Amino acid sequence: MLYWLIIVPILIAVVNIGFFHSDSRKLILFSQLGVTLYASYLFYLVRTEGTVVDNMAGYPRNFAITLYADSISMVLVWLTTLLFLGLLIFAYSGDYFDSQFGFLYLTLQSLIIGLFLSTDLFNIYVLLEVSTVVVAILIMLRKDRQSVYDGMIYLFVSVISSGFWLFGVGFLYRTFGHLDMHAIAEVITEVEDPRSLILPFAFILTTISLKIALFPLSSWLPIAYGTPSAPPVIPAILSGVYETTGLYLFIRLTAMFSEVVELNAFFLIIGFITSIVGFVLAVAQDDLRLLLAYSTISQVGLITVGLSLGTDAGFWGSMYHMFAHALFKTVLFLSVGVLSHHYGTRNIYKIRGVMKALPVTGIAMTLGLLGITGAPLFNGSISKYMITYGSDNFAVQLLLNLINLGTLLYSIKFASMLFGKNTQPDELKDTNALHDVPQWTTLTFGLLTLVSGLFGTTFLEFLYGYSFDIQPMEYLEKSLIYLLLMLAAFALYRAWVRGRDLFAKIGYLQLSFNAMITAQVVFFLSIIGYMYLLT
Amino acid sequence: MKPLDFITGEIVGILLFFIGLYGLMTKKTIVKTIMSMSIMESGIFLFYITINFTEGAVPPIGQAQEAAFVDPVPSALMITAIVIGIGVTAIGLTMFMHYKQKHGITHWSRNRNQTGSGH
Repeated sequence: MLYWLIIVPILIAVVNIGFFHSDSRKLILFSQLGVTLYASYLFYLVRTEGTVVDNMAGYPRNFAITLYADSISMVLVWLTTLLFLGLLIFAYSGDYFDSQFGFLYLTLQSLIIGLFLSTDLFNIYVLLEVSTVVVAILIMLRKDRQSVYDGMIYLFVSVISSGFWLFGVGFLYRTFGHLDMHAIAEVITEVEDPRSLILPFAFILTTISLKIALFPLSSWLPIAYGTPSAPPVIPAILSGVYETTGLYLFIRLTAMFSEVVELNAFFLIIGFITSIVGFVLAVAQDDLRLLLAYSTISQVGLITVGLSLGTDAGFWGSMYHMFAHALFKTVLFLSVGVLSHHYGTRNIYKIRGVMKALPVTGIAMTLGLLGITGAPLFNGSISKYMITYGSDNFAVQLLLNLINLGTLLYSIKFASMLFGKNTQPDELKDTNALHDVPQWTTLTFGLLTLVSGLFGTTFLEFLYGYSFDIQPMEYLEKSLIYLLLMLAAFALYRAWVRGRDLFAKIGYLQLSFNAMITAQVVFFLSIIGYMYLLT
Repeated sequence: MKPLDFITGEIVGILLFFIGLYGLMTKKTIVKTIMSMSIMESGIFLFYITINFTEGAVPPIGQAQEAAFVDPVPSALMITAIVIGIGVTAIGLTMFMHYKQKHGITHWSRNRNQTGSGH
């Protein structure tokens, strides 16, 4: 059952290669519709009848290769199919959409779904490795100088980190003789010396932390997302869906080891550092894609914080924030794609007057920005409310508000494009901009951001089966805080950020390739040291 | 106990892994990066195929049960991993050759050009 979701996209991808000289886009579009419908059916099945488990080839559980869909993974699979469908409609009229792109696109979808469903640690390694290759090829689709360089950095850094994963899995297999996550989780408490698990756990966590781009392993992310020549759907996929695979693995693996080693405090601190570094660098960027890439780092840090708080509200708040982040980040990346198409630049200071020139995209951008900053009634506000609700520690609350202030800062920088005198070059002015499918797709995602906020708690219950009551008074208080932060951010932006050299200098801070690998090793060693002290 | 008993496949595997990692941390040439990556992967392969090895075990072929069977899973896994490793190395080398022939660059650099083309 579940395997159809993985096989069908691959099969269509292979068939589509046969259409080398003709148009295969309709085939891809209809297969995507089918996959989305089937995923919706499976989602319904999981919600009504509980977890679906598929053992391949009829071997008993723990020995077979297993596909496992519970409410968490199925929601993410469903979200993946929805986003891929939406992005396909966005890309449909793009000049880059040929059968080669279609092949890579569908393969990536199948691999990502496989990552969400698989419980076999070695299978996950294979899926990670192959998806890395596919993403690297997608990044350098146009083969210009910068994109090949970026693709190489991304490929090598990710492959090396998957090597860490493989090594860690080897240690686990030596200890337990199992490769299945759930099988290991069952027997993990029988280990006599918890210190014998430090090495495999540290190896595996290094890989996952690199995948979700936690500080100091986040340097590859702006390189991969910010490639100038990549089509706009690619950073949208990477940020909306591919990023989520790392977080999903983080949830699963920390749950697997939680009986033996508890690392919540460590990841709480790392999450805060990641988030703060992310927004500081985001504010410093002039390039729209880089700004959004750093903001992804910041949001991922926030999600990690929520997951590490150790409370129910924090955990489900983070789950919902993953969902919300996929939506609003897709909106923003797609609107950047539309803008650079209509303005011929991606420099934030050269684009003005979006509201007048492209009202549809302007509205979509506004919705996306309100979502990311957690404005009242938008989905970001629900998830951020839940994350703050998950902790009663004063310092944590303060830092969460600081992060929100940072989010507002770069959002205001982003929003400054909406108004002012239209700077669109005359040759790119398009009278037909209202009947543009990509723009309306972007707006649809923007409206989803609003809808999933208006009916936040209903959505939460519908998706995960977790009911959460929002206290109206507290929500109102949070909304007031939001308004205050907004004013503060606006003042800060006007007085300090705009046109300062300091931020421009920060923006160019970047690790070289060797430094990225060194950062991986340092992270690995420090996590070993921390666990050694802990046990 | 022989003097070189501590040189088992596992230990050598771990050593190779970290030698490769050292190369990745220090070498700025792209070709050397690819070579170090291969060394690192070889270390992992060696580690896998020697874990859970018992003296005198036989390959799991046929029905005869005169001795304990070797665990076949790690070898099966490593066949897959080696194939993937070769694929990745090939892709890396292809990218590098393309890059060198077109732009004449062989080292990792820090300079970034964000203006670029396309959209």
